Amino acid sequence: MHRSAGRHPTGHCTIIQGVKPAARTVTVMVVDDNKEFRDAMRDLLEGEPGFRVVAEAVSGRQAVDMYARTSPDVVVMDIRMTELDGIEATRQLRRKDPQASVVLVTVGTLQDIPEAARECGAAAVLGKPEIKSSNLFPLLRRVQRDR
Amino acid sequence: MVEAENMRVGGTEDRDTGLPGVSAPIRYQFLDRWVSVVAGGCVLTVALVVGVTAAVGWDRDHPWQAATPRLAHVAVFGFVAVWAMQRPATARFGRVLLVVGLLFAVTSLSGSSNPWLYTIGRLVVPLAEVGLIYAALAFPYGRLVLRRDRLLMATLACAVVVLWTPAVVLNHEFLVGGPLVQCGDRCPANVLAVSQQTTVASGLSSLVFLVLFGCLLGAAGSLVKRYRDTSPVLRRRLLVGTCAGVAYSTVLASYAALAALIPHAQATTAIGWLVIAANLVIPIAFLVALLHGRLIARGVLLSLLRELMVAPDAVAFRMAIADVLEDPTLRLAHRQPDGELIDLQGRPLIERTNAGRAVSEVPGTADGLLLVHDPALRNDPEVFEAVCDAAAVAYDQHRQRLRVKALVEDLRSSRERLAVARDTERRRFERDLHDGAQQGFVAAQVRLGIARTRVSDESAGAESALDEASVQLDHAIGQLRDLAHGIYPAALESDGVAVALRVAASSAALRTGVNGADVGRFPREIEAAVYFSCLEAMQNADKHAGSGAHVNVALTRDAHAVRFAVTDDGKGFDPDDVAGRGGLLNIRDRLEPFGGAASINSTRGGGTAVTGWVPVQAATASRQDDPRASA
Repeated sequence: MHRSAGRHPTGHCTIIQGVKPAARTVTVMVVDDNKEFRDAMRDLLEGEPGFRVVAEAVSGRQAVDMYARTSPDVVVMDIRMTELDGIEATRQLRRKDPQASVVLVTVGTLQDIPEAARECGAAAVLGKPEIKSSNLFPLLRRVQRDR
Repeated sequence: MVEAENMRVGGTEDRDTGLPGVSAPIRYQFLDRWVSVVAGGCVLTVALVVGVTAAVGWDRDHPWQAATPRLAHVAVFGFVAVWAMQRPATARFGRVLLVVGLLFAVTSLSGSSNPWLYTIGRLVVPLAEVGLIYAALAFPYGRLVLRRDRLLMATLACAVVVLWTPAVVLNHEFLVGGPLVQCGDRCPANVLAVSQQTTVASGLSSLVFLVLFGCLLGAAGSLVKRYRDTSPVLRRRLLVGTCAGVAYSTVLASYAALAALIPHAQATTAIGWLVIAANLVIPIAFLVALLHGRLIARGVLLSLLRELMVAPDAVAFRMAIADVLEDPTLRLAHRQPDGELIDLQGRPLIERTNAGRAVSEVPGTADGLLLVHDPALRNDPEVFEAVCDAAAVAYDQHRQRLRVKALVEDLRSSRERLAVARDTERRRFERDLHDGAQQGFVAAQVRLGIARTRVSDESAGAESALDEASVQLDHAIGQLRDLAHGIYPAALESDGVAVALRVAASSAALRTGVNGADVGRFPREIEAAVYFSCLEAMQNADKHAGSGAHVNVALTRDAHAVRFAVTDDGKGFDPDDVAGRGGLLNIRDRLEPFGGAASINSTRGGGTAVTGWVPVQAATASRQDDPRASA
């Protein structure tokens, strides 16, 4: 399988082209303005069969721009970003594609999660410290299945 | 540019009006009081001596008939003169009246049977009446202000010297004596007579009266013109004095005309009695005029002080002075180093505006305040200087008020900037933690999870170590998250003060309820002030209310302010206890920079209520536009 990487015009994100996910493979877009977290998420997801990171974005705006081209099954997106936060980006994605599935993540506690995060159409909200193989993969599969 | 003289330069003459500049400030001298008292005493003594002399004079049948009114006349003059000399502004006028009173006292000698005394008494009569005209023209400051008045007085003096003196020396009898000199053939001889030229003397005497008639009418006209031309304030102060002067001049002119044409007619005698009555009345009229002028001056000053003390700005300040001086064109100004005048807003006063204007310095002002005004105001130096003095005091107070107001505003603004900067720094620090350490820890946690998955089948020891590291990392992430939350809670940024307080309440030691979900959003700094104020009160309740107490936080908003009340049913404390005020001071420091306030009510065993508010005006300012990321 051939895979090539192309740069987004802004230079901040990577679109993985030529990937033809196998059946039941969950394609994921990771959106976070922290590179360490994006890399960790890529390593986590790429290390698990049936999951593929098809795009990365550093902001909500880039995620909205790239969504139509990459059509990921699930968008894993940080809530708090400087250029279009995850909540507003989720709203815009859901306006463009009502089937868009977004899992919002945050470093805060559940109490810190804004009320708007529960009403913006996100499929789930997850605390970053709680991200583990044991709960992330089932969650993403469930979200994909529920689309 | 303005050519007028500085009002404090004495003796200068105004180029536009021909009026003299205002003399140096009138300052009361202690000796003046004694000088005036002694002078008044001398006049009374002279009057007494002269009166007694007259009483034993040629009118043996009615010795007091002539002496009594003359004594009363001189006494009234002396009283008014001494009264006027008590006040610095009218001291000179008082001295003029004193001299005139002295002259009238001397006229009493015309009742003497001694030829020399009789002659002196008759000679001084016209001088006394001319002196009274001088007093009328010089009212109320005792000096002749206008050139035409000085010319009139010079003409009268010349008439007396050039015409009256020959008329006296060319006749053994005085031709016209007036009603009080009805001695007829019992009159003593004129000791100054050198020959008997009755026709020439009579002609000269008539000529004197005609000149006197013209000058008196001129004096009356001059008084009327001065009244019309002067400033409105001085016009009101001159009203009584001018009426008295015009009336006296007119009556005396009438007598002069009749004495010149029909000296022995009954009409002349009747008018003569009117002159005597006028001589008696006019010093009283001057007294009334001085009192009236003083009342007006006092009213002007009171009105000015009332207006000046509440004048909110330079425009109102100028209007207040312009109003009381009734000079709508009056301007306040400063002089530039190059001599140009600028108003208090720094705009130049253009020449067209200043043409024919006078410039006077307001003494004692720190920055050399000037008045650009109608030159006629200088004709009333008493009021004008008092207004300048009052303006100086009020102006300095006005400047002090402005300075204090600016300092208070600077202080409030500084406190607001500090509060905003503190919260901005908190937000920045919290964001740094979020974007830096917290994200790094979370990423490390994810990688630990990956490592845990990969090593699980190969090494039980490594699996255990990774699990332990993961637990420690979880703990560190929790601590870091709590730290960031304490610095600036994400919920405050994303959902506002009510939600943030609910989050804080969920981790409070005491059971805490939060009401006010519908309070809405405010500018970031206001929300931070209210949030941290409530948090301070909640933490104080946690510490001091005692276990088992309940805390309630209520947020409300009305048209004027956002308000909060943090109440508990705990132990309470004595409000006089200084130690209990520390939290309140912190809350005040939070609220006062934005115009808010806080108070605390507590009684031992009766719980505590901390209430506060921030004006809604401050809260209506739009929030900063920088992106507000959520959670």
